[in-house]
Amino acid sequence: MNDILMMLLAGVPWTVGVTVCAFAVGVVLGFPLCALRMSQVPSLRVLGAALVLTLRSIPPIVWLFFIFFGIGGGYVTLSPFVAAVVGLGLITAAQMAEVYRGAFAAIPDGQYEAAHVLNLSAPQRFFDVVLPQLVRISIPTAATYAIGLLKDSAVASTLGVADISFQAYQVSQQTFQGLGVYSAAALVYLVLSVPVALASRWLSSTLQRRISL
Amino acid sequence: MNPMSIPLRQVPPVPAVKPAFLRLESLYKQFGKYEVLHDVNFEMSKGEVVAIIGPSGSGKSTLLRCINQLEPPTRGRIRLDELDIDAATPMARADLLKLRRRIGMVFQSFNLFPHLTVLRNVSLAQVRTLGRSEREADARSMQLLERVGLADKAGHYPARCSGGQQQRIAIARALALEPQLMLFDEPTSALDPELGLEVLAVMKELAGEGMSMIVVTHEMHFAETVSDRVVVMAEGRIIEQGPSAQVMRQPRHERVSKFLQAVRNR
Repeated sequence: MNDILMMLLAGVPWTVGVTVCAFAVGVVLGFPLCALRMSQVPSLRVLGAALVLTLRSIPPIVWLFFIFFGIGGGYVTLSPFVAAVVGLGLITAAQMAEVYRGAFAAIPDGQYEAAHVLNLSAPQRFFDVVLPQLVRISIPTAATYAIGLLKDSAVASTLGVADISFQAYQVSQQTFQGLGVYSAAALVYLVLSVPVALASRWLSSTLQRRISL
Repeated sequence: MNPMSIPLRQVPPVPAVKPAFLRLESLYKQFGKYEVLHDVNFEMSKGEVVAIIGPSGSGKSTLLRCINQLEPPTRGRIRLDELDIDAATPMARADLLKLRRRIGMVFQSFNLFPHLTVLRNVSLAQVRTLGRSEREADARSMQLLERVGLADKAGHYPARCSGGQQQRIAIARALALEPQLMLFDEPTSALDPELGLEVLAVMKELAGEGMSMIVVTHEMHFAETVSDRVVVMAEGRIIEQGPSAQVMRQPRHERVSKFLQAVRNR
């Protein structure tokens, strides 16, 4: 049993790596995508909406195969890890763009007006006033999504990324102890998710107490 | 008789005794087809305190917001000292900055920045727009917070302050940029009467120090006792203006006496 657990734990860095990298890609790319989605120019707005819709409507596994076997198959060489990060990162970006859009809507107009009458410049209005509030509003939803992503990163195993699910499959094939192996894998995922959930709950309640948006 | 059926007459602006510091000339504001301000003419001299009263939807707040271009007027002219802004010509960004630089504004909903401490709320724009160092700005902010009686709240977040305290902080924040004119948009309407009083006390003090102020308000006592002049608006027009005592005690316009009666009988 110890050996089984050790094999599964060897997958943890890959699971965490795919999750963290894809989340980082999504958090950053979510901003330009959100900007497109909220653009004053109608054609850009349509483009943004179309991108978000496409990214969210196609299952992650199809995206990953499209990137790894499609694009990676003939045009550029992609490692399974990079393909998984790019695919899940783009899907996360679409999700985060919607989170940001909701957060923007939650910031009262009065905040912008106050910033205007205080003569803050456009970058100052964004970085001093809007962004900090945006981050605080986005944290709970983003954290929930991050936990979802941690679980969904298992799809990377289909490309051959040696994550927890990949290891579980390998071990179960070798040992024929499917029930034990997958129970252990489930436990590992649980141990990874719970701290993220607790941290996010603590963070949002602390921020809420302090600023009560 | 239905008060709405009383014909509205435009009254010529009462000439200010001292040279005009702020002058609005035939100001119009339209939201789509809806005309919110109609040919508003108004002037005030430095150090004057003017109260704008009138029923809801009469354009009081819009007028205030036109002065600092939060709502650019559709037509008309705004002069503030040597600044001359014609709505017909696109406004240079430098002029907008100059205009706003001289005008402080206090909102009904305070609009403090919830993610910044009280001190930081007052200091931020000093550092960003006046180029003061953090230390200078904080020192100035502390003076202002002391002046509004809230130095002990400097390290708190706005959410932990009462509405009255938040509004006093908002006043300190506006004063920090050393404006020549302060606009108050129903500063006590979101507060219960007791908390409103502490805000009014700060405003009264400010008026006593010679600050030029335009106050949109439903506080008739403040309009009568603190302001030098009262302007009454209805349906986007100024229907009466004059010295406070006269407008509040012997209004010339029937619509005004009806309005005052309604407010006082409430």
